[in-house]
Amino acid sequence: MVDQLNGKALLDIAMETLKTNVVGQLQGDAKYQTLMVASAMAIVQRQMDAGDIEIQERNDLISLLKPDGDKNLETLNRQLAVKIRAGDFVESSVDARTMQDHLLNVADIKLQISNPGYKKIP
Amino acid sequence: MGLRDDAVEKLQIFLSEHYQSSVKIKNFKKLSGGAIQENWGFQLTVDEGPSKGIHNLVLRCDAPSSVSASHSRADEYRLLRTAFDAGVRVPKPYIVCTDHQIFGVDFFIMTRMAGIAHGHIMTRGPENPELAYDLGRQLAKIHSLKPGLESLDFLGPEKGNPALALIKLYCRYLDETGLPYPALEWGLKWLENHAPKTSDQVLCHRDFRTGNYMVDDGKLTAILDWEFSGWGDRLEDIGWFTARCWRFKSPERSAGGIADAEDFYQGYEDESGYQINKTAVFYWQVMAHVRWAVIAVQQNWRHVSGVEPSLELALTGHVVPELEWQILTMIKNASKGVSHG
Repeated sequence: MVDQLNGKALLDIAMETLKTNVVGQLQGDAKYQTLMVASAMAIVQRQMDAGDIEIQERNDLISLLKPDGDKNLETLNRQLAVKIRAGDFVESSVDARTMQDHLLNVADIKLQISNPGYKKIP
Repeated sequence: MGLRDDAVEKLQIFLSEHYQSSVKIKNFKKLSGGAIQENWGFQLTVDEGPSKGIHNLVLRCDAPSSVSASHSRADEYRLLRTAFDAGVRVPKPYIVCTDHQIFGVDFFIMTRMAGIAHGHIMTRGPENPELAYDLGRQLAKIHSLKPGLESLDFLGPEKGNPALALIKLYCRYLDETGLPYPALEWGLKWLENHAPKTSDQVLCHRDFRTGNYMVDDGKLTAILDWEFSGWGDRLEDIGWFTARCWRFKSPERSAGGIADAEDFYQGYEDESGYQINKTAVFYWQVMAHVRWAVIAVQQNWRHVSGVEPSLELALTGHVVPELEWQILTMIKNASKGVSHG
């Protein structure tokens, strides 16, 4: 069944209208503000496309930290941040490399949402 | 800052007393840019005395959302005055005023320089190696200013180890948000583990980058935004200028998106006689990305915490992933012996 109230489809056409019919009519600060709105909408669009990106991050953190208690994502990230600052990961060790790969993977996924073109340029 | 109805009138009276002449302000308009400070352009006609004539000026004052790390306008004026006297290409500073009866906040007045500063526009055109060379020379002049200068005594003493002092500061800024940023923590830990010793500290501009200098017809007219300056390692400014995060539309051009870093280094070395250790610059490029990420986190926090709801601040938060990715990639490459920004 075609969902006539599909939020993503609505966002798509709103973006298209903004780019095609509005931005070209504007100048100066109004154009700058509208481009920021378009940029925010594009981020939301990519977030919707990506789905729940936090599941993998949380699972990786559980495997990295092996926590006993709270497995909330923010709590896990806080534990990792505290361990890093305390110097628990020795540079070039296997644990540090695993942790670094995890961080790079998370940054990569978030980058695909925030600025997917970033890695295309040298 | 919303401009009060009588602000221009009061300013006119203040300038009339300063110049000991009748004066007239025309075209008082807010200039673009400046999330932390505001700049107002205007034309001043002085009727009598040694300053008789028409002057194109800028009034610089705090914006509603100034950050704690920035200097007061009075101190920024002192920095600008010291740089101007040292022959650095900056707008000529004229007057500083800390009487809030005049404009509601501290402000200073300087010459309005010709040209544009917009990073996206500046990095879209052809390469400009002469500009990069000139910027190198100007930065060397800034770095010729050393601790002990009476005019800059408000900057306080030099830090023991500038890199470690910055790392401590950025950790505090992250803590103040109350949120965890493990990727930035790993960047800060790497910086701590590899912190260089700095034997001679200099005046660092601390925001010397494309977007903060003005160019007219391809030539440098002024270096702007002295609000973060302080004593530090000269390579901090060099790393900040050459870091990928400040290359805008031309990330392949390592001198701030305008030319190759070699042109910039050459200008610096010719002016100062100092040989830049290019391998050591890499460390400060990592520092540059960490610093910008911490600032972006702070700006985003101002939005999400409700202190200052703003789309611009919210979007700045979305710069963090690319900075985290860049920091982690640079660190990973460094461990493999590859080090370029």
